[in-house]
Amino acid sequence: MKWGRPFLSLAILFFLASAAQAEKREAIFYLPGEYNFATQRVYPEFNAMLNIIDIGHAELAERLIRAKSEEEAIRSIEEDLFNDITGMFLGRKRRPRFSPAEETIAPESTKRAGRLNKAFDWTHYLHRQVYDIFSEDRVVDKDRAVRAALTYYLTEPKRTFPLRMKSMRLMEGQSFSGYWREKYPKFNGAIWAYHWLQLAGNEALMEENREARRMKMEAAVDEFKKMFIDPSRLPKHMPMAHEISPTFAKRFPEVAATFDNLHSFHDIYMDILTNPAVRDKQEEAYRQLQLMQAPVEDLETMPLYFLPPIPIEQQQPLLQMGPEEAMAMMMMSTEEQLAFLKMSSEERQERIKQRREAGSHH
Amino acid sequence: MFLILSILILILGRSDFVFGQADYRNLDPGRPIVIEDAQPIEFRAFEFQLGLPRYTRTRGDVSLLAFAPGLTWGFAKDWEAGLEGENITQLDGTTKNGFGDTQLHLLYNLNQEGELLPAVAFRPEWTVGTGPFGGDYSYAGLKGIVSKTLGMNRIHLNGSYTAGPPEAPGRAGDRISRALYGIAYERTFPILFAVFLVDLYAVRPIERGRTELIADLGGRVQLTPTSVLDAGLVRALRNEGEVRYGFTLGVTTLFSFRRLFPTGADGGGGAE
Repeated sequence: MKWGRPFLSLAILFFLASAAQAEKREAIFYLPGEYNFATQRVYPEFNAMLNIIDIGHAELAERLIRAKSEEEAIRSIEEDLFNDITGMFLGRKRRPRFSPAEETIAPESTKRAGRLNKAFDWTHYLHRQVYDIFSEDRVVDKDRAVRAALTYYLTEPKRTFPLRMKSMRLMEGQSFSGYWREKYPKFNGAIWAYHWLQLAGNEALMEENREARRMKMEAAVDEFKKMFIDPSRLPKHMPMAHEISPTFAKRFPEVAATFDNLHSFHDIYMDILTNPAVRDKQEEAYRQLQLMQAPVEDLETMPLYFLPPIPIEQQQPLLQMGPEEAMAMMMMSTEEQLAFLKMSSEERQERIKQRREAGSHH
Repeated sequence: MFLILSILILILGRSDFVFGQADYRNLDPGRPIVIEDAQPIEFRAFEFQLGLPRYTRTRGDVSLLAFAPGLTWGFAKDWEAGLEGENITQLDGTTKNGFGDTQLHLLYNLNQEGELLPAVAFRPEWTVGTGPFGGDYSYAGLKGIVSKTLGMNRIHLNGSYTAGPPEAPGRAGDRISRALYGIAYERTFPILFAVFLVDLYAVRPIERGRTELIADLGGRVQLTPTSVLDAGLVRALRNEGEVRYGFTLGVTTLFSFRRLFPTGADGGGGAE
């Protein structure tokens, strides 16, 4: 009893000191503009897909963290979660009415890697703002509005992804790379479909004519839903801005690079969470975030020539290319890429082999 | 006071006043339960709580209907400042109306919740009587807040102490108590954008009365991207010989001003 009060005081002090030194939450309001919520108003079905994508991303990380075994995680994600989000996309299950916060859907994931979640959320805000700006006809100077949104985005350097494309080696060439894709092929396809829709939306919104723009947005949403009705249509490589949204990427190269970097970091994080060889998930995730955020290190050196805009209903041959084929295309000129796209799978493999041999001779 | 607030909003707002997405999980005292969470509103956000009634009835045929508007500002990262007041109508055979106490508060959140460590916050408060239903003195208080998330469930603990002279019985409003400690349970329904809430707290009145034990039950639901509706029931389990019950209903909306945001030299982006 005599020592009770000092002990309690010390415990409280220790508790407060721990809290004071812990990671800060620092929730920040996104940039307000009169375009806020325009996507929801003008393209409600596209916006509904984005809300479900937010749920799908967050829920995925949450299930990976909470699963007690790899078998349980695979079943929970490849079957249960895939079916849940498919039901939402196709309107068979209740959908979220608004854009959800990651910490609400994935509280355990947020606790595990809060710094990452902040970067994801912050960049998702930028995504949404670009959609809102291009959905709102009252915003006359779209370029200026996007520049302002990007400037605001850059005021939080710890939450931003670089404005120049980082090397695909970070996603493909590390000791833990590829594990997620190998063990969870179906949901990996779903993640790549999410990224495809986001890029396809960016491209469709570049259309000046309002009616043509609406039709392109609807075509993107229809194609996206078809991917979940028939999962064989899900992308077989991570779609990137220079191939899916070339008009947008030429007009806003920095924003496009930021989104590509974010998308490849999603894959990196999934590999970290799933690969049992990575013991300390938080430490590795933070180390990788630091590598990704370094502004000049590990920049992509491949030329990344833009493809001409390909109509959405004709993109399946491109989306069905595997990562190796997609990587090979990154080295090719636009003309070579177009020819490569028309080749059969065997011809493409032969072409890759030839390029590899030519490269080794050099 | 509220006239001043309105003028402030009008001056700041002008053409760059824009609504933002409200947070249905951010708990403030009385909206609808008394126990609050450790998270402040977002940096650069403003939150306005519309003055909807907190209705309390006592057995002695005295009814109180209180409108409690409030304005909160996320003035720095992890900080908020707020101003709340109340306008009270008392029905006891005759009808009396007037202002009660006005409270200024700060809230500082120390940390992001970790796997073991809960979120911790402190809330200094300064309360002053600003009308016939308010206290005679001004009071300074400090509240400690702890929030812990377990999946879709959250637990909040609050404890506060207020310094200042005792009031004459019946002079102080709901905002002032000598000490308050309580616990709340929150269940989130993320697809519905709703939370279910229940709390239990003990409150020692500032006028030296017996400690009361009160329970609240309520919920918050996001109605539109920019507004949250809350509703709750209050039940006094133990107080000064009276069984007190009541209900509350409120609307919260979030907004900000474009000029508070750094957007570069040309500052573009609004509707033009």
